[in-house]
Amino acid sequence: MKTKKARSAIAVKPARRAIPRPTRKTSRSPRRKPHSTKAKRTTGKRSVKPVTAARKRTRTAAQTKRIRERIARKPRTKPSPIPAEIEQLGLADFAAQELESAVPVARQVETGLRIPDILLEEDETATAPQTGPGQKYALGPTTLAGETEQPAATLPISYGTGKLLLAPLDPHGLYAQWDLTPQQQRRYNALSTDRHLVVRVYSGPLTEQPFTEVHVHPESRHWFIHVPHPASSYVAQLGYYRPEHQWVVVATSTPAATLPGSVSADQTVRFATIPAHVRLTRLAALAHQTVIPDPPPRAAARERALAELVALNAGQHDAMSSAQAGQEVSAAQAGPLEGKAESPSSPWGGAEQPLAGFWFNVNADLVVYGATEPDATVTIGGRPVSLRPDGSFSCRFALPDGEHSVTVSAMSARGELRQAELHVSRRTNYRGESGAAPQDPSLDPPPARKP
Amino acid sequence: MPGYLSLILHAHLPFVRHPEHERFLEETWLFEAITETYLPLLQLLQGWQRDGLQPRLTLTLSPTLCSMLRDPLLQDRYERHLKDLLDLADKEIQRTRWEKPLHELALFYHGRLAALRGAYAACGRDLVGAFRQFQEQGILEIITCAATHALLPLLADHPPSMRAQVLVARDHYRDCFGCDPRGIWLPECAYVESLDDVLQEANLRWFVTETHGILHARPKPQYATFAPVFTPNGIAAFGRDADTARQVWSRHAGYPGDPRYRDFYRDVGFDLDLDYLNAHLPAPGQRGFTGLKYFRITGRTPGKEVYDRPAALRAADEHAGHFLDARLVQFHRLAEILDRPPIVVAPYDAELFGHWWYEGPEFLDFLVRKACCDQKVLELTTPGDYLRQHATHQVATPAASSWGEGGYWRVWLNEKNEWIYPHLRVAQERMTELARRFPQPDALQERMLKQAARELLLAQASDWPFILWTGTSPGYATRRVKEHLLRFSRLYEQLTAGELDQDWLREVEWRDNLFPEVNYHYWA
Repeated sequence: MKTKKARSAIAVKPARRAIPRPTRKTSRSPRRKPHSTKAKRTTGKRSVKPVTAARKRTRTAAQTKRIRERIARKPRTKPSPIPAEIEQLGLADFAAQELESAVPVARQVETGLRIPDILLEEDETATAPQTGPGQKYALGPTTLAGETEQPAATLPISYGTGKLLLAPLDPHGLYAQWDLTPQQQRRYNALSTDRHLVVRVYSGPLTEQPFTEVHVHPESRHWFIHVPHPASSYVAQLGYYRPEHQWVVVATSTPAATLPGSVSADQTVRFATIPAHVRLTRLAALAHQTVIPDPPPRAAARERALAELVALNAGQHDAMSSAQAGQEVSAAQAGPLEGKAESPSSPWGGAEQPLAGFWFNVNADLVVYGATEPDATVTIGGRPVSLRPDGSFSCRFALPDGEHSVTVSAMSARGELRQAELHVSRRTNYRGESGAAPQDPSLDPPPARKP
Repeated sequence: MPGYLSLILHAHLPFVRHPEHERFLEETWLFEAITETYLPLLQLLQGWQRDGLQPRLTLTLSPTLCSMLRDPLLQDRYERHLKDLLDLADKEIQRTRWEKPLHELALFYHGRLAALRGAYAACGRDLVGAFRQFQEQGILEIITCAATHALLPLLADHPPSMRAQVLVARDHYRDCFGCDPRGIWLPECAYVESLDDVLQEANLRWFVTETHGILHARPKPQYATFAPVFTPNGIAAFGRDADTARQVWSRHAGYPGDPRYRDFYRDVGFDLDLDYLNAHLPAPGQRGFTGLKYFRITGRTPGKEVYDRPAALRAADEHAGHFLDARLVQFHRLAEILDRPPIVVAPYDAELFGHWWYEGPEFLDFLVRKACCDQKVLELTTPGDYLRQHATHQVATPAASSWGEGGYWRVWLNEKNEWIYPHLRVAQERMTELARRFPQPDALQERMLKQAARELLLAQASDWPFILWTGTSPGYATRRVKEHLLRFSRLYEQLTAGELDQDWLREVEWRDNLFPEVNYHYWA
């Protein structure tokens, strides 16, 4: 009977720069070059210049420069003084009883030339979280540039319905989108003295002067527009100017109301009693009618106390949700118990530190491998090891610095025992900034081991 | 009883099922959530029941999540995934023989995974059924969500789509749980006034809005977020409590970022030799999360320290005590102000507990046990129970709002994902056209109409614009939107032209197989 002794080998591998990318098996549809996954910064607080997806893919630097110059000459939408985001919880104004006129201002929209975000695409790369709690739909620290098959067919650029949609985004934001084919759009651009379309926004009747108007990019099919008044109705018109400032309407939207952004001035108090066991459809009318004629009076002291209690939150409007991607959650690092947190800091601490341009990690594993009769029983360090059909086996050990030993045993089906006692040692001298793990340089290494 | 605390866990994942591939990376979203959240949650419920506790919790199980949890293919794949993970943990026990702290963690993971495998087998792989039992036993109130988690306010310009998202979800809930849902989790807490009619039609009695949805309600609510308001149609709107949200989510004071807790990103899938890992990776040859993580968040230090499980559990215990103490203080203060028992509504994504925040289930366990046994100030309740006990509330119209960044819709409608909506709008109108054109279709037409409805619903999922916004997997999100819209478009063209391709229909039915009994008439 041929027998083999277990052999051992110390496998020392310098770490490679491993940039994992999620891929999938090849499908039947041909692969297409994936869209860029580099993300531009999204401010979402001002009118930005949108372009079609096709244009995004094909624009060159020179084209971008030309477009920037062209946009710089265009008349701009009057910048909105009030961005929406900071109003989000409304706790402060709830407490203060301040109404619409006192909506907090988060960030003044800058005046003068702005570079539309779309033109900065590819300039910035979104940063994935690297440490801390998890993130919704995270696939890994370095999976942003994943390769993804895209359908072979493509969606049409537009459908040519000629409709103009106006929809609210928040208390100060409107989204206008128009559905014109490229041919229709080119024709209107050619008829326009400006060589592009214009979106007018009205806060009153269409016969009056528009509240604002936006000169849009010749290829744009949508625009984000800022308006000053929450809970107000607006109507948009898409059109262009002929000579002598003659306005030609291409499409008119239905009215859209911006969202409320502050505490209601309506102090009416109505109560209703709605039994939980009766279907709503049968109670619909009742819900309107069972108003308690003599509701509890508003107690001024209680109102003030409640306002004070709620106001405690007002300065801490960082309450979160997964809809903020978990990135903000990950930013939580300080312990919640004051004075007890060991190291109050951002879990992005590692990520915020500049990454060295050159890096070097070295790991050492011990691979024990061998072979025996396929029906034998093999243990390494007392733990059974699975044999392959040909009787071979292998096992890997993390090999830290120090002296180590392990016993490899094989017991034949007939009860014969063979053993090998392996003694190995490792001593590492690091010079310079050398680490042990991980493989990926974007991750923090474990605590350095002392040689 | 001075007050009520309502913990709401919203469990949702987009429908990710790719039978056309042997392995598919994004399917691991489901597998990781089962391993780290859904099964541990089930084990918590079993533990509370075993110990005679009767807490009341609310759980959303979104229709897409239920569809995946009940799908035999994904059940098979989950078992394979768990076996791969157990094999890796087994190898890790051997590999870490000379690194004691890691070795103990490898043993811990192996034991935990083996227990989870047992729990999954014990419920017959039917997690939906297992949660249903806890609803029937009075511990859980399970609520529904929009059919594919569409951001409903962005469907406001097409009421049939809004209606279909809600009614299809209700029908699916009936199929899963054998009764009507009482409440609905509005995806991303996104509410607009025009939702009221369809919620009324579906007899959904309550929902949750973001804090300012109540604070900005019209007229001004008397009790801030500490009592619901009835909408004009009689549906109760509960406002998210800002304190409880901040304690868990806040970047400054949130629990999950404690340095003692396990780090999510530091996974052996990115640390160890690729050859060694390859057989256990979600996408072979590509590094990815395995779920075996050896390091804790640690803090602002040069490196990460090894995860200390007992210390992390002590942290979870401390945090649960801190959370409960804060509620008691909150209720004592509210008792001085309000003339009725306040309710504090604390909704969270279920996946936070266990998946993103590994010790989250233990936090919940400590919290529920303390709330049930260590105090008499607050009572755990569900909004449905609360409404049965308290039927009189102020009438007000909540303000349009969401819990996304900025508080409205900009997460789901911005320069990164705006391109989706013009296509959706056309598809929605075409779906209504089809529903009206084919009131009494033949069998094949009906299959095509149902598939068109499925494709449209899948394209409407808020997950795709969300992913495009966050950039976590934008190529995949783009692909999904395009695929569903293209399939819808082809179905529309075939139906209107009368040229039906049965082979192709069979294939897309095989791929996108959720909502088998979808009622396309809802779009009419």
